[in-house]
Amino acid sequence: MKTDYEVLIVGSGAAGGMAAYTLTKLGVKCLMLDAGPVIDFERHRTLKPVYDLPYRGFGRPGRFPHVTQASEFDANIWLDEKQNPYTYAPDEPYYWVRIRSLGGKTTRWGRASWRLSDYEFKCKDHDGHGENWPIAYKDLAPFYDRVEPIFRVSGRKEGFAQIPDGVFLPDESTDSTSVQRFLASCKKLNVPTTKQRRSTGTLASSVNLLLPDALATGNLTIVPNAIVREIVPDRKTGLASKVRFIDRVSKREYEIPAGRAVVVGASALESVRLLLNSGEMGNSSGTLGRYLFDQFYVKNVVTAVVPEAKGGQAARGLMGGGGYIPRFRNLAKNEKRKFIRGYAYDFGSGGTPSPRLISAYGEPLLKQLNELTGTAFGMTTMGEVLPRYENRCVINKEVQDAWGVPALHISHVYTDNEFEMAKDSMEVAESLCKGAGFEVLSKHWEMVPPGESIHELGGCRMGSDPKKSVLNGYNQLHDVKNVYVTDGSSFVSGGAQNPTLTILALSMRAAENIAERMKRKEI
Amino acid sequence: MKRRDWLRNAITAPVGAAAVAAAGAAAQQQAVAQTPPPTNSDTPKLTLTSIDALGAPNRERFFAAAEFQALETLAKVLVPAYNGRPGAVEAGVPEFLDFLLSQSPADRQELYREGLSQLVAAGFSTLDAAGQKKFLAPLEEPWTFAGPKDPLARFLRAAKDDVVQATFNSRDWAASSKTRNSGGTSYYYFTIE
Repeated sequence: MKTDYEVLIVGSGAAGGMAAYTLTKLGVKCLMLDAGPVIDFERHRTLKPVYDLPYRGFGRPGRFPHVTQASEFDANIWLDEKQNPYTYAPDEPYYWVRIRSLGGKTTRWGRASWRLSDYEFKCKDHDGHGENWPIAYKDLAPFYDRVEPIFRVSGRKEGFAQIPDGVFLPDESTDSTSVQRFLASCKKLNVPTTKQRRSTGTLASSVNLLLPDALATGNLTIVPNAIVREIVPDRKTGLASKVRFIDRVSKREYEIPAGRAVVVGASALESVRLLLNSGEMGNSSGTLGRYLFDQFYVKNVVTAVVPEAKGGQAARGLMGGGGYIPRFRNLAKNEKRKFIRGYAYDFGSGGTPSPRLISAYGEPLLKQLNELTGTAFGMTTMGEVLPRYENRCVINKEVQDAWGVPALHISHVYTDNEFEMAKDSMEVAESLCKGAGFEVLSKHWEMVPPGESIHELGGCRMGSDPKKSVLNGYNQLHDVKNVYVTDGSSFVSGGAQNPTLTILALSMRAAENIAERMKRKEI
Repeated sequence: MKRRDWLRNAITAPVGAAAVAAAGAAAQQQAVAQTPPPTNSDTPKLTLTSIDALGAPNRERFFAAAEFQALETLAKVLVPAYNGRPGAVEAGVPEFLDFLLSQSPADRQELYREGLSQLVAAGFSTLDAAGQKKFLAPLEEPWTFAGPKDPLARFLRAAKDDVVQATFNSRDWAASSKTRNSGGTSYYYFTIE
C-alpha cells in the first residue's frame, strides 16, 4: 500500500489544486483523491453544429432541472443529478450546480478574478452586521500577489478600495463608442467602472496551471474516481487518522491512512457534507453547515439597444466590448438605504436581443430581429448575500447518492436585504443605459434561485471564536488540528466579487501554514 | 507474451510470409491481384450521415392529429418563411416539437396539451389572419420576467420561444445562412466513463 504521503488532499479544483501546488513545491509529499474522472480535451470533445445534436440544442428534457448552465453541447461534463441527489423544501428551491471531474469547476469557470477587500474581511466593523473574518486584507494580499501571475489575470489598476489592485497583465484594449458613452453616463452618476479582471489563456484551470507543476516536483500522486465518504478520527487523539473512499466505477470501498494532515477542498457544499458525514467532524460550535450564502444574480437586469446600430448601420467601432462596475453602494458608513452592503455589474455591448423580449411574432418579429442584429447592450447584477444562521445544510438520512453516501438537504432563501438591493440595481442600470442614449428593451429584478450563481459559500466558516466558527484564521478546524478546509465553505462573507481568486489565495496561505506546522512538528 | 510483443509479431508476420512466398508466386502475379500490405487506412475516417440529415419523419406522434395540426398552423404563423429563409414548417419544427414534448416533464406536456386544446376548440387552423391575430394578442404584450398568469398566454409564450429556437437551430436554417453556421457550432463533449 502507498503510504509515503504526508498530506491527503480531497478535491482537485481551485482549493485542492492550489494546496497540492503549494505543498509539493515545499517538498511535502501529497496524495490527491478526486471523485471524478479526467477530461481529455483532445479525446473527449469534437466540434459540432447545433443541428447535429439529437435535441437541436434544447438538451434532453428534464436531464438537468437545476443546471441552467448546461447546454446540449456540454451536458456530459455536468454532474448527473439523479446519481447525485440533494433535497430542499418545495418552496425553497436551491440550484446546486456541480462538476465532478479532475480540476473541478476550474475547467468551466467564468474566470472573473477580483480581490476581496476589508469591506468584506472587516464587514462588521463597517456596518455592524455579521462577523469579521479572522484575517484582514493585508494578511491575504501577498497571496493574491502570487496567485494572479499563476492564473495570468489581466486587468487595469484603478485604485478602488473595494476591489484592490493586483499583479495584472495590463489590459490596454480600447473601448467601443457605445461603451465609451456608457462609461460617461456612469461617471455622471458617480458610478465607478473598470475593465474586467480575468484569468487568461485557452484553458485557465487547475489541470493546466497547478497540477502539472505539482506533479513535476515528484511529490504528488493524483487518484481520480475516488469518492471520499468519510474522514475517521483517532479515538484517542481525535485527530484525523483514516480516510474512507469509494471507487466511482466499481463502487468498491477502501480505507487509507490520513497522513499527517488532510486538506478538504471538495467545493463548499461537498466539503461540509463530508465533515457532516464524518460524525459532524469539527462541529463543537454547532455552526457546521450554517451561515450558507452565495451571490445573487439578476441576469440581464436590463437589456438595451444602441439605436445607432439598428438596421446593420453600426459604424465601425460602435459596438463590442464591455466592463465591470464594482460595488458603489454603502461604501460610506452614513449612507441611508433600504439595504446594507452592495452589488456589482457586468456589462457588455454587442449581440442581438433575445426574440422573447420582442413583443411580436411572424414577419414583424423576423423584421425586428433583422433590425436589431448586433445592437444589444446588456447588464447583469451580482449582489452580496448576507450569511444567515438559518441558511444551512444538513444530512438527509433518507436520501443517498448512487454510492450510498448520505445526501444534503439545503435550506437557503433570500430575504429583504437582497430583494431591495436587486430592485435598486434595476433602477440604477436603467438610468445608466438611458444616460448613454440607449433604448431600454427590458428590465427586471428577478434573481436566479439561490445556488444558481455557482458561488455557494460558507457552511464551514472561519472565525477567531471557536464557539462561533468551524475554522481558525488558517482554515484549520478548531477541533481537529490536522484537518484544513480551504474552499469557499470557509468564507465568512463574500461581497459581490467572484470568489475563485480568494479561494486560491486562502488555499495557498493554508498550505504554507501546514508545511510550517509540519516542520515545527505541530502536526 | 506481452501484449506489445504480440502486436509486433502480428504486424511483422504477414511481411515475412510474403517474402518466403515471393519467388513461387511470381509467375502468378500476372493473373491474380496481389494482396496489398496493411496500411494506415485500416483505421479510416468514414463519411457518415446523421439521422437528422436523413430528414425522415417521426414515426410516433405525441400529439393527437388535431393537436398536431394546430401546432403546425401555430408554428407557421409564429415563424413563417421570410426573406429567403425557411419558416418553422420548412425546418420540421412541428415534428421536432412533437418528439421533444414526448420526452418532456409532465408540467411542460400539460402546458402544451392545454394550450393546443384551446387552439383546436377555437378552430385556430381555420381562422383568417385577423382571427389568428386576435388569438395571439398576448404575444404582442410587453415582455415581463414573471410572464402572464393566463394559461393560454403562458403556452403561447413557451411555444414562441420553442418554435423560434427550433427553427434557428435547424439544419435548414443553417443551410440558408451565408455562413452556414446559424445556431452555433461548439465543442460537444462525449460521455466520459
